[in-house]
Amino acid sequence: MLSAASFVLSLIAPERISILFTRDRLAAGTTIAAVVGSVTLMPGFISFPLAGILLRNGVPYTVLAAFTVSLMLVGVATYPIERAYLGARVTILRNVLSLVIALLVALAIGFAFGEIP
Amino acid sequence: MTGKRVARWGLPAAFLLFVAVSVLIEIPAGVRAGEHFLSFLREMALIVPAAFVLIGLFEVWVPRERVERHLGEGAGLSSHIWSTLLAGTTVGGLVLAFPVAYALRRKGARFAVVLSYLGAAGVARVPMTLFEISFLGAGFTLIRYAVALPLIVLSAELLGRHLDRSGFEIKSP
Repeated sequence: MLSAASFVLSLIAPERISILFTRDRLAAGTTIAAVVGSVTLMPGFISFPLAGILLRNGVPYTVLAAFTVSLMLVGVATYPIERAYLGARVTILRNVLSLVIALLVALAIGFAFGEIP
Repeated sequence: MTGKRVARWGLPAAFLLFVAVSVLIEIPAGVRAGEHFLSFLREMALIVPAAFVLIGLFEVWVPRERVERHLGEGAGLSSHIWSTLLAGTTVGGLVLAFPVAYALRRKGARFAVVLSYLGAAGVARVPMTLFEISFLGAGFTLIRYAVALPLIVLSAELLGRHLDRSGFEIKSP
């Protein structure tokens, strides 16, 4: 898992992916960010500097909220570990609820920063 | 069975081969991937043993009655404040929160509290929050906490009450 995360991370050029996330395509960008945040595994000392670079390159707060919160709360990559403790059903329920929470936080951030009219 | 074996050993082997080749013929992306891998590995090697020692001490030192009184069946909404504060001290994310959740449950915490602990261990870790404030601003963090924490407690209560009725139990792997 660590190797897969390292590999994906090495391919990301923050300046290049920033242009994919603009304010006029907020819904699509937020959805993509939530999915990417759910499936990847990244410690905070890498994800927040990355989010900071994305922010400076014009990526909306809404997108960054979806990305960081789903990264913190949804663990597709750690599913086997979580299932060993909680079982498949509760693991799936917890992760689905967490994804909903991540999107609601993104929505709130979007309103608060005036990105959602 | 063989598919699982391939996933477990084949992927890391392919990755290490890729990094080794990258270092030899100087592919920048491959070298960067190797550096990330080493920093992840160092982080895990430092944190994981310490975390399990702390969990072991919790098992031995914290009396069951105390956990039951503050986090158990009789304890009300204030138990979520305790679980959130405890979660704030978590290092390394959810992976290390699962064994703690198991230990809490064994000592008599109710499911809703265990689940709010897990959620808060995701979103309210103090070291991570300091990082977040410096890169995204305190306003971002404040709104995130204000929205995420109540939703986590709410969903934990809903799912937890359902689990109390269904005879579910947390297992040790």
